[in-house]
Parts: sequence; C-alpha cells; structure tokens
Amino acid sequence: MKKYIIGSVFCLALAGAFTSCSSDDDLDPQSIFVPDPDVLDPSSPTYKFDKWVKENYLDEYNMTFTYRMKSLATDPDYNLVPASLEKSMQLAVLTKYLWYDVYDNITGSSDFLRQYGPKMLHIIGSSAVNPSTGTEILGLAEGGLKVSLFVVNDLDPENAELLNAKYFKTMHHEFSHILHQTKTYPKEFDLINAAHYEPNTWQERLGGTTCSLGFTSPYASGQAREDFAETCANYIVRTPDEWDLTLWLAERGWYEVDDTYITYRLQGAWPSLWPAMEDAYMQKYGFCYYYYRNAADEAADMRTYIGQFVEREEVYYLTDLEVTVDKEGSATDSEAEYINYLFYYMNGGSRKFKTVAEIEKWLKETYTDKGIKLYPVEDTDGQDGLKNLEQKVSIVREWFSSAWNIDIDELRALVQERQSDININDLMEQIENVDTNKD
Amino acid sequence: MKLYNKFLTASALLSIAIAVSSCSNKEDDIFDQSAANRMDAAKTETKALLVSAENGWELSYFSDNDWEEGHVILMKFHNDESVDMAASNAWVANEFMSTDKNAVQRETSLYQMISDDGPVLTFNTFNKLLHIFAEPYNLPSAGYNPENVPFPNGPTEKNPVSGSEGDVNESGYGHNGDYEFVVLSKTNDEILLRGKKTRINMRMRRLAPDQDWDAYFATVNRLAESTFSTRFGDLKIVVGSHNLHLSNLTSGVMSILADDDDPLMETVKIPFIYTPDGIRLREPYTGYEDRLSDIAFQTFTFNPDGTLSCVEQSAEFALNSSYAEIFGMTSFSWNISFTEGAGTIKTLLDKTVADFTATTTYQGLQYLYFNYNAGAKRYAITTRVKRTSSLGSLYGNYQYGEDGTIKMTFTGKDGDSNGTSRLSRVPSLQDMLDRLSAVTWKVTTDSPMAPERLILTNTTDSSEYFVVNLR
Repeated sequence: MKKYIIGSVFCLALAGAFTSCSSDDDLDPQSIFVPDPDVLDPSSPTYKFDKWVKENYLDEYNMTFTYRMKSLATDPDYNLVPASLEKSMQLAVLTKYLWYDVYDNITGSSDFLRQYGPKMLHIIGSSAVNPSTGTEILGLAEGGLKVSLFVVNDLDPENAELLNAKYFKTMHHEFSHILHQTKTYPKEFDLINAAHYEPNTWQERLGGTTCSLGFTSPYASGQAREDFAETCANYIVRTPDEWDLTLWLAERGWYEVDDTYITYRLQGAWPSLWPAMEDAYMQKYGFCYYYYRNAADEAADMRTYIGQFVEREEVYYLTDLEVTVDKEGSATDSEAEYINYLFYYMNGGSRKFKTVAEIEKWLKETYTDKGIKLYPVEDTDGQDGLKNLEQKVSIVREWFSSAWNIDIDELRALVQERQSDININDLMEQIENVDTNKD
Repeated sequence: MKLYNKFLTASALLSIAIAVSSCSNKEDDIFDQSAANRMDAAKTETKALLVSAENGWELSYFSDNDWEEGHVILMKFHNDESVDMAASNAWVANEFMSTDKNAVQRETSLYQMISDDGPVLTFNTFNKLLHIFAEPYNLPSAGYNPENVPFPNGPTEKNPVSGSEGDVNESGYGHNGDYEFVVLSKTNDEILLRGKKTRINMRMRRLAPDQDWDAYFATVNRLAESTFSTRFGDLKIVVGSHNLHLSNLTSGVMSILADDDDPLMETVKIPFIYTPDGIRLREPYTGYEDRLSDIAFQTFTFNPDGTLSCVEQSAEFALNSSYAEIFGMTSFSWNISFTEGAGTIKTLLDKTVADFTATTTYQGLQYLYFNYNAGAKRYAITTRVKRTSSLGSLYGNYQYGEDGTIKMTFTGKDGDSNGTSRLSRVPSLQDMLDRLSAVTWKVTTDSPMAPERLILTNTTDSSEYFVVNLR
C-alpha cells in the first residue's frame, strides 16, 4: 500500500513535468491597470476644484474627497444619487474650514487628521431613506477609512442651523466613531443609561423625552456607541443657546400624546397652527407644563397642556400650542368647541421659542404674570436627565483629553466661532483663486 | 501483487497520456489583449463615440415602475467629461418651478466611462433632468403649480403628502430610475444601454447634426398630446393570428390585452416613449407570462399618413371602426368648420352662414353640427343661433359604404319645430342639405388614431370637401 502511494506521486510528478515543458513568454513589464492620471487636466471644467481638492485634502491628509459618486462604494439597497458639482464644492470648503482646519489648529498640525482622519470622504446627493421606518442615514463611517456624507444636494450655506444639524454634526459624529474605534472610551459611559437604549424604536421617541432621560437626541437613545458619538458631536456643534435648551429639556418631565389624527385635523382645520406640527410625519406630541383654564376645569382635573416640543430637521424648539384634555386624556361628548374626539380645546401653535430665555419670557408674560399657575409635568422616567448628560459630557471631555490630548472645550469654542461666521463666498474664493501655475 | 502491477502500469500510462496531451495542445490566445486592456479600450471607444455626435444623442429613458411613461433626454457629450442635457416633461418642470410642462429645461453636469459591470457610462454629478428619477423622494406630478407644491404653507387636509390628487407617493423609493448604464452594444448611430440597477434596456440614438433641440421637443410633445385620444375606445393591432386590444394610451403606459386573456388578471402594462419618428415600448411585448413570445414587438414608426407601423412585426395600430362609422357614432357630435373646405359644398356653407347672419331673428350661427338626437332616435344636423343660443334640428339618415364612405339623407322635411322654422327662413340651408345628400362622402383624417378632425371629400370630385371637428 505504501508503494502505491509513492507510485501515484511519481506518476503525477511525471505528468507535471511534461505539462510544464512549454516555457512562458516574458511577462509584460507594463501593468494592465491604467492608473488615474496624476496630472490634472487644465481643460477640465472641474480643474480648479480638483486642484484645490488635491492640494487641500490629498496632499495634506492623504485623503480623497470623492464628489463624483461611486455607486460601488455605496449600499445598493438604497436609491442614492450623486451631489451636484456646486454643492460638492461648497461642502468641500466648509468641511475644510469647520472640521480639518479646526483639528489642525487645536492639535498644532495636520498630523492628527493625517493619521486618524478618514481616507475617503464620499459625497452623496440624496439621503439614504429606509422606507419601512422612515429613518434616514445622514452619515456613515466605515472601518475608520471612509466617511459618507449624505443629503448634500440640500446643503444651504446660508442656513447655519441646518448646516450644523445635517452636515457638521454628522462629520463630528462620524469622526467620533473613528476615534473611539481607534482608542475605546470608558465603559462607564455605557452604564449611565444602560436600561434606556432602544435600538429599533428610537425614531419613535421625542427629543424632549430623550433629553429627560439623559440623551442629546433620540438617535443617541438607540445604542451606547451612537450615544457616545452624538454626545461628542452635539456638544461640539450645538451653539450655547442650543446646548442650554438641551439641558433645560433634560430637566423636565414630558406628557406625550400619540395621535396622528391631531396632525390631520390641524392640517385641515387650522392651517395657522402649522408650525405646531410642521413635521408632517409627527406622530407624537409632548408637553412639559399644564394649567387649568378655570375652576370647573380644575375641579374635573381637565388640564390644558403647554410647552409643546418640536424637532424639525434636528433643530429643537417649543411652540405655544395649547391642548386641553380630561383626566383620562380623552373626551367623549361633543360640544361646539371640540375639534376632534381627543381634545377639548386647541389654541396657538404658531409661535416658536428656540432659547431658554425666550421660553421663560413667554411663560412669564403669558401665564405667571397673569396669575395663571403653571404646573410642571411630572418627570416619571426615574432618571435625572441633566445629571446623566453632565456625566456623559464629563467622560467625553476626559477621554478627549487623555486619549487624544485634545481639550474638547477649546475645540468646541473654535468650531462655534467658525460656525457663527461662515461666509461661503469668501470660502469659495479659495477654489477660484487656486494657483494654477503650481504643480 | 498482480493486481498491484496492473494498477501501476495503468497509472503510468494515464500519466503519460496526460503529459503528452498537455504538451501538444497549446491553445491560441482567444483575445489579443488582456481583459483590463480590452476594458480600457472599450471605455475609450465608447467615450469617443459619445463625443463624436456633434449635436448629441437622444436617450429614451425609463424608470422601473409601471405608472410612468418614458422621457427623452437629449445629451451632448464633451471631451472634458461634461455633458449638456435637455428634457421637457412635468417632473422636470416641477424641479425648475416652471408652470409650463412643455418648457425645455437644460442643465450641464459631469459624466465618466468607468470599469464596473463592464464598461459603464455613469453620470456622477447631479443633474436635475436625470437624477430626480433615481432619488428616493416623492416627486409631485402634473407640472409645477404653486398650489401643488407640497407644504408651501403646510400640507392640506385633502392631500397631506403628495403634490396633487391621484399622484403616487413614492417616499423612500422614488421612481426607481437609473443614472448608470452598462454599454451593451454600439454602432456609429445607436448605443444600447442597460440601467445598472433596473436592468432596463434603453436606446441612445445619434441626433441629426441639424436637429434643433427645442424643435425636437416641440414635435415630441405635440405627438404625445395628439397621437392618441381617450374618446375612441381601445385601439387594436393584429399580429399574426392574435388580436391585441390597446388601452390607456394617453397615460403613456399602454395596457395590452390579447383576445383570449382575462382582462382583470392578464392585461400587460408597458410604459412607452414618443420620439419624432414613432413610439417605443420600454420592453418588448411578449404576452402575459411570455405566452406570445413568438410575436414580440417593441417599436412603432409613424407613416406619412400618421398611422403607426410595427417595426418587428407586420402590424399597424388601428381603431376598431372606420372613420365613417366614427362619424356616425351616436355619442359624438361634429361641428362643421366654417373656415375650411372647398367646392360647391363650401360655397353653400358660406351662403348659409351669411344668411343666418343676415336674419335679424338669429343674428348669426354659433354652431352648425352633426349629432344623434337621442330623443328622436335620429341623426340630425343642428343649428345653434347667436341671438338666443337655442338649438334647432333637422333629421336624416346615414348609410355606410365600402372603403369608408358615407351617404347622408337630409330631406329638410323632418325636424323639430326650431329646425323646420329656421329652414323656412333660411332657404340656403335647404340647398346645403340637398348637396350633402346628393354626394357620397369619403371620410378621412389627419390623425388616424385620434380622429378628432374629419375631412369629408366628394368621392367623385376630390376638390370638394368640408371639415368637421369633434365637439
């Protein structure tokens, strides 16, 4: 049996020897792959932009700013489209100004982003919509190498609030992921709200309610690592007024009503109430105070709720909408003033209050100065949202300092300073004035 | 041992056989070049072809849904990877906030030939004429109307999400269009593309150097509005031994039903597109569940008389009735044109019109038309006078002849009271009725599939004719 095995081996070796008898031609010294030309084409309509991108991203950070969308680098489950050239150019200069330059400035050189920054920024025009949940992806950081930024066709350089919410927050969020995937953050962070993460239904939560639990946004309440990235990003990009509002919301309790019918009725009956439910898909209404309109209401514990929380494109504010419900939270008989089966009374909803000062002034002038006693909605979630938020920010601050030697407050101050002073025309001049004589 | 020896011998022989065969049979190269080089050459060639069309290309573009017609996008490719596009449709009008859905919109963006799923033509920066069909958003239809813009001041109760009533809400999906195309084949004048995601085949044709783009869209829009009409019922085509009924033609998505198929379950819906020379279905019609793949067809070209002939099969679009029978359909009324016509009948018509104008009781004719009087159950020629706007009818009969002719009989003796009294006050009307009844008229049309305008010509003297328009 042993020989049989050797014999077989011998025969196969012989076969091998014969088949290899014809000699191979020399391999072509030239690679079959034609590389993209290193030299940019001056006749191209995008020459100045490409040159600016090369100098500011590729040469500086060894990173590509890919604005001509590569569908192979996207998830085919989504219907995505490229960004327009104009929007890509605007985003390119804004990203440099509000992200790359800020980190360079804080860390003292471009080495930090050269080492830890993504190697590809992929610019996508549309959002990645999940039709079954209605959620949209604004950004993706994959393996620390590629960051995809979506909805770039909606970019409006004049609208600082939206720029923050949709683009710069996303950049800082995705970069936080890259950083914590490189050096992990303390596990204590995950424990603060460990019992309150809802990975599948976070999108059904109201921003006011999640603040009250200790999250900076509903998305943060999905899972701990998103919470971490959201805490970093929101702390960095929210203006002092916006951050104060976040903390103010965190201190409240929220009364929630889940009813699409209200939206429907408001749309048809009272178009003037539109800002109260500007988000057409809003399914929940949250309020943080109530009062009694009169003694009869008080006797029946029929409450008029005020302080309606609204989130529009990730910008938070309160409206002056008032709704009156009985103690069961519904109404069963029909009087003339009822506009639907749920609410006895509705009023207002057309004014927006975006800062704590505006809110407190409105509460004082409209209610307390007139002798109306306001009751805060009881905070029943068992969490001190303010304390949780402060604890999270403290961990983030300490981690940025110990892991990266970055003072996040210094970073935040510089981002805020730059955000408040964006002049897109000045920034775009960098592209127009790029030195075309230099290689 | 004996067995072992046999085995050893057999293996040695087999090995030699393999060894020898592998030496003697050197295969020639199938391709001159490596795959990568060939891919690169295909990209270069395709780009050169695209750029070579000095007046650009006509792309017949379809999205992957069963409710949207195809759209032509004209494209002029430049060597620097920019591309000028033009289109004219309601979706694009919305995007440009134009209330005129036939306005021609233009925009320039970038393109590239890339190696992907074979050589792929990608439009990799956003262009409003193309990429809106690939976005995951709901698009309002029916042209731009400030009233229809979703949420200008908040949604309305009637229609909280979509732009207009009956509009499909595509939130999250969009129209499922493509903006990247695999190049399937190419000749100097035609490139066949396949949508990378949708796998829909789309045709790109070289435009004639002197074809004006605005004039191109004017023609296409006119054809789209006038080729078919909703008023004449289904069209039919006979392909081989199969009768096919075509409906919903004005929607841009054709419903095709074969004779033996179940109308509810087995109607096939195929979007189609107009080009100046004809119409083309998004994919070939092969019957319900491919039962009629032997009569597959996709493309129709316009004949000089306005009819459509099938390119792949011997077949033409046709109405279910002759034009004479359409003239006599009891649901239709036909205004006699006062300005068109020639010969004796036109002279008598002019005289009648003038006499009605001269008669103070009537102060002129608003309309003179053929109709079917359902009360009297008779065909009629009806006058409507300007002073009172009242009607008066004189009754008659029709007889249909061979080859689309009609013989009318209007004696003038039979009618309602207004009709007969008007005849007595305007005797020239009797002369006209006599002439109508004396001649056998051949009924023809300029728009064979939507004959809303008919021409009735004397069968013995083609210089005498009059024109009627569907009311």
